[in-house]
Amino acid sequence: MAQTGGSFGVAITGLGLVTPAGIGVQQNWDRIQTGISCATTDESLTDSPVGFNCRVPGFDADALLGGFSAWQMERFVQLAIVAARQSAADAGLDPSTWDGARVGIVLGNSLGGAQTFERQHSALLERGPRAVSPLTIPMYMVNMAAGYVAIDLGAKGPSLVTATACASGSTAIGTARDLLRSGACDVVLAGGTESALTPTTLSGLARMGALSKRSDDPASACRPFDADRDGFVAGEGAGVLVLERIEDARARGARIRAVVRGFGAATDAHHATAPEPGGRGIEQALRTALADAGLGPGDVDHVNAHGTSTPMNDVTEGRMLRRVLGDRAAVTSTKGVTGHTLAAAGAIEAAYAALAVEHGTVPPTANLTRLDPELDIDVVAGAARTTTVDVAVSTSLGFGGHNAALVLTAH
Amino acid sequence: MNGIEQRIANVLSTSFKVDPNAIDSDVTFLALKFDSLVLIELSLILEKEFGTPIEDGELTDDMTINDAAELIAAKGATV
Repeated sequence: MAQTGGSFGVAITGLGLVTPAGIGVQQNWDRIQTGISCATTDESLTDSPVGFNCRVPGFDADALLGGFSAWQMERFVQLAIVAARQSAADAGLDPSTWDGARVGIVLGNSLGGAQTFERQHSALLERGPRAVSPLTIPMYMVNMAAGYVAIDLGAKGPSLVTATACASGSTAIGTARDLLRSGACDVVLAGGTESALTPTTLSGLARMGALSKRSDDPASACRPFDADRDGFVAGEGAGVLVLERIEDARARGARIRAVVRGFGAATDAHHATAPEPGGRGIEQALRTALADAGLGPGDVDHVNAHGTSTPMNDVTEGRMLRRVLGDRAAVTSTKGVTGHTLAAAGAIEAAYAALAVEHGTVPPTANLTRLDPELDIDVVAGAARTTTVDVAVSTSLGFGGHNAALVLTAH
Repeated sequence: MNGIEQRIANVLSTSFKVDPNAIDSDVTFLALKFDSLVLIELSLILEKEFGTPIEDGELTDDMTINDAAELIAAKGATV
């Protein structure tokens, strides 16, 4: 592996995943390697323009969190708490005994408690302002993801929510690394969460032309980098990583799954929702992240791409990857399996990239049968590929022109 | 529990997912971890349940299920 002298790496010592691919790291990793999409018809959305999506299967909030506690939380918070608990346990940390003042929380979220807002808006229209629940605001606000996880785990250091749309989870990990580098925290739980599969949200996305229209065959709808892709499939989920300074992780004998070695962020300053067609924003983020890691483009073995399956994203991102990295890196988009979990995506995909580093396995891109002829990159399709992954990159792009890239390395 | 208490208990366990084993006539809302916001939510639901107005602040966290039932009975609600 190339030299990384001078760069600041933080150890990933814990992972928590609550996604359409399953609950827990093992379920996720097993499903991701099958390359089979999780998209299914959603019976609650039969009147919506797109009646299919990727939900977390079998998520029983009452059983996991207690009925009365779960009742007071929106689903994006519930998912985050369960992922955060998993992650702390995976890291071998015990929140009942840790020094909470040294533990920070940084979580990405974008759409907050959309379910609550829709429900309460209906109550307002039907029965007037007094019918609006006093819990509307605490259930709606995006920062409650961090606030409730802090309460649940007794984390009393800095906490915040990052909102860079679909790059939020990656931004959270980059921000968490800064909190460790500055010494503000000894442990940071960083990630992202999203659950906003409501009629209004999905209608809005559909009206933008962002969603796949393959309602007759949902499982084939999300097909990143495929010539016949027609949009993304909305998903929900949460991913949380426990990050620590490497020397701290070593000192307590923690297992280090991978290392976050570099981060880069850049903004298109171009258009509210369309990526800059030349991909210069994501290119700048990626080059910055590689430089931050002390690595060169030729060092990258694997890219977990943003790869949403929209016509515009995949061609822009794919061309950029070829331009910057050449054709050596094994590229995948795990969104083919999970759908697009929006603000959670960057964190979930960073976790998958960490697992790719740990296991030397690049998962396949679901539904990729014919690579977009505009692209000349090595996209893994069909079956998982066993290979050495010393350096992995995870890219994220968000509405608003937010771009973020993470560089993960083997320990 | 009397009839009104039983109906309040049913609201607590169905609408608020409170463990039914934790509910009896003498338990306070505080003991059930109901804060002031949850009590306002409860007031709204009990208003519909019993068809009688309950002002914000009438239910307080030191009240028991029995106290709440008496408040509602005093407003003319019957089982």
